Amino acid sequence: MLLNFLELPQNAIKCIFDFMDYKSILRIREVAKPMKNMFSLPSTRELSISHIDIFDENHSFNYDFYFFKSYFIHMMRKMKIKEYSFVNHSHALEATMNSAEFARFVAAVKSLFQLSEIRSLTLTTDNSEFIDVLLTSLNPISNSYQANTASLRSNVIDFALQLADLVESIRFVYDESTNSEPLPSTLQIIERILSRKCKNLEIFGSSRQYRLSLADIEKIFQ
Amino acid sequence: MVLITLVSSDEQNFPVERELLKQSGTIETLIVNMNLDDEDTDAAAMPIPLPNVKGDVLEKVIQWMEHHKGDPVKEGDNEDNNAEIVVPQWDDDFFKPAMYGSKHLELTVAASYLDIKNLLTLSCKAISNTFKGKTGPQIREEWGVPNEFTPEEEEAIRKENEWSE
Repeated sequence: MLLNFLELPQNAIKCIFDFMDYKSILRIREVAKPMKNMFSLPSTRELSISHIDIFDENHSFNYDFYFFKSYFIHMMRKMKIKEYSFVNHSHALEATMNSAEFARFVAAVKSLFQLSEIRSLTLTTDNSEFIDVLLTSLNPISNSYQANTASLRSNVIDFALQLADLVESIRFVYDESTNSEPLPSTLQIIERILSRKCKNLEIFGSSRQYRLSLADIEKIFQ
Repeated sequence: MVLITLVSSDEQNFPVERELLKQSGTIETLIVNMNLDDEDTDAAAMPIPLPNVKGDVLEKVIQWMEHHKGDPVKEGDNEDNNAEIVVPQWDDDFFKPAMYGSKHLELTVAASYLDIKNLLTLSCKAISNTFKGKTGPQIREEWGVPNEFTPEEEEAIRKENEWSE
């Protein structure tokens, strides 16, 4: 063969990959070493999603993932997500998406989500669409969850409880201004979460409702 | 009808209808720079050298441009529309004889060099179609790519890719 794929100009290679689905791209890594390097997957550890940060900023979200870079560059382009960058020495992807884009993104990496050991999760939004996407992706058992029958607040608590079965660390930051529903006491929430797999819990909220009394703290220690 | 002569890297001359060459961004720029559109210029006496394109490849490019004469010329990257593109039957038949060989790749290189966006897009789409649903070894066999991997390396890649199955 006089000419191989890798001697094609960059714009042609990019154009070819634009037409390919994710599985085909992964398979192309099996063809030749330069192609493998183009979509590098350095170690199994880096395949896992070890940390997710979700912020609610003007109806968009940011996400951090450990990942293999080239693959996600392609994915962002393919999904027409323009606002993304690589941070933390290129080990993390930060992207801005709306909830519909997030749902598409999660669907594309669903198996990766489910294989991943998620060590911590930071949630600073109670957007129900977004929480639904996470629930159906992180935990297949939660597929029957009906967000439209619950208020946003219940959403978050239910989500926390289901997450508590999956992860060892949870950090929630609540925006009190949007909360109108009566809640179980903070102590009850903490007890229910820590009786599951979750061993580390951080809750941030300014409301008096969340303040613990000395007696509560004593009870938690016990 | 104004004819402009293109000269391939192996010194073959190809007189081509001026209208056809609008599809090539590179040639269009050369035509403008060489003032070949001016009435006073004798275009026939000023051939355009294309040192990066061999005669047999240039012949195919011209054949493609003749078929696509009058098609709207694609501008910019226009990535947004790429996903929807279907290779028309004529183009599929056009690429087929060269498929799985360096000829098709040379045609793709020429399309890039000559900045013929529609040809480049269709050619790349045709290449990507050959990858669909194929394993690495199948693609290697079809495209005649030698296997550089040891069995252990192949197994390692398969393991890395397992999560997507």
